[in-house]
Amino acid sequence: MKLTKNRLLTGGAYTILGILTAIGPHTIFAVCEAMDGKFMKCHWTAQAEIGNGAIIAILGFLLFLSSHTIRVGLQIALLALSVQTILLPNVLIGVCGGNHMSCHSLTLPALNVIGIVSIVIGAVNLIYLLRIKDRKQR
Amino acid sequence: MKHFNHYLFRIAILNLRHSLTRTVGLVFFTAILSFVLFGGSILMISLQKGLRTMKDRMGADVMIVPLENTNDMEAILLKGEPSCFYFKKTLESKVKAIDGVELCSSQFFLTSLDAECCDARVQLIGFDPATDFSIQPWIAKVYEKKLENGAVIIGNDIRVENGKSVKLYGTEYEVAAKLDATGTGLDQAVYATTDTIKLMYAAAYEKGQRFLEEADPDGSISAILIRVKEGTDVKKLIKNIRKELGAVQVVESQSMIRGTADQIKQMATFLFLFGGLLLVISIVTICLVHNLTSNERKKEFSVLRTLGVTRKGLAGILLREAAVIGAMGGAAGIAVSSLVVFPFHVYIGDRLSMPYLLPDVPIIFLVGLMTFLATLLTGTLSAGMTAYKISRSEVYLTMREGE
Repeated sequence: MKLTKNRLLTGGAYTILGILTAIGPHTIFAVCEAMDGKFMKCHWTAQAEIGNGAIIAILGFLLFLSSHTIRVGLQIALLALSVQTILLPNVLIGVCGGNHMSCHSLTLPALNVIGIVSIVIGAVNLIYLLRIKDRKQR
Repeated sequence: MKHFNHYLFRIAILNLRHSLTRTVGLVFFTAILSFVLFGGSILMISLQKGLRTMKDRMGADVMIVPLENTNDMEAILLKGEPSCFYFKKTLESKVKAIDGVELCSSQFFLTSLDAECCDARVQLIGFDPATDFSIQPWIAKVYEKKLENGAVIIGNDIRVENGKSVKLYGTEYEVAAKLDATGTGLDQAVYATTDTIKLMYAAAYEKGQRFLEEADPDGSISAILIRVKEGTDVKKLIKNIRKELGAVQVVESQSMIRGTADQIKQMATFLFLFGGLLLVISIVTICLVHNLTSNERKKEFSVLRTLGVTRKGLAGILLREAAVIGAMGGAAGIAVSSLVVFPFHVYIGDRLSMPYLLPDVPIIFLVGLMTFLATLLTGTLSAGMTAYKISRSEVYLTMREGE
């Protein structure tokens, strides 16, 4: 299978973004630490993002190897997962209420930015893949 | 003419697509310039707005705190780090009697418990409604009625889940209003009258909460705020206060503001130099790249001339190429910068430990537009010299070059 520029760029970008989503909330843009031994909800968001990010990274890696039709399917799945990256800290689980707490001032915007970048890359790539398909069919 | 312009633009776009690596490189370079100009401008405007709001909000000319707590007071004001410290309430009446004091009011500080109302401890500031002159003017902007006992006013950064009440020491207190943002630590405080603070203290004490030994809302206070009579020598007044009260720390608001303003000035100078240097480097680099590539493209331009493109048209193609690169780089830089300065504004403010308040939306748009125009002009003007040179060259001589 030919490793095209498109495969390299999108596959590479999603693998990196997935890894960042999974490990970022525990390292680079870490959530709050346990308070008096109790975990706050930002901790559970970070845990959920491990699963979400890992799937993004795996599907992203598969973009390197798959055929055109499968890549379209993978891209749709990646778009949905990117939306979930944003929904987890904002709606589904949430972060701590204090604006100045680490999870609120750092983790939340970082996950939002990763989610937005993933969605933009995904949307552009999906349009590109569908246009190639049209051209091939013609 | 319209068709002619359209064709020139189309040729420019095709040229850019043909030399994709060069185009991406130049767009990337312009994007860095735009990123720094936009991000730096928003940062500086936010700091200046924060400083302005802080100046307005301070209200007091002089603050008196216990001797060892100057840094704690600054931490409350600038970083919103909760702290409590006390001295005797009797000092307030002594201050009132000092010549040069126009208004004088005391405040009593408490800190909430961890993870109680707002996931983190917050500063509780009790003020005396009869004498206060620093908080009530701000409350009046958002709450016109009299603040009842048992009700509190919250700072702009305090989030209340139900929007109506806040839980402090296990008891719910009605939230009367939320203050406007100041970009300072005062946004992370809860304000109440001293009577409400006494109620809080008693309720907490009943539930088994123990405070510092000297924390007694009847006999102690945390800070005395002073407004100085016009024409009074503040330095002399501070000397008199020290002589009268003994071991206390007297903080002049102006010196605190001046310190912050100096830090902002230093940062502005650095950003200005860095931005200026980047602008010069960008102009020189884009000039060089256009100049070098135009040498390689001499034959291409000659063919275009032979096909009927005028000298002006040739320069137009080059300028359009540069304008498209400038526009794309400008837009990309602003977009990436927006993904940093806006979502992370609280984090940036916290890291800087300075008053930080984002500008209003129209100003943000204006800064974005100016940055876009600056990068567009930088790209276009840098290509201008090469465009002029190309338009002056002779077709025959250029075609025969190297033979």
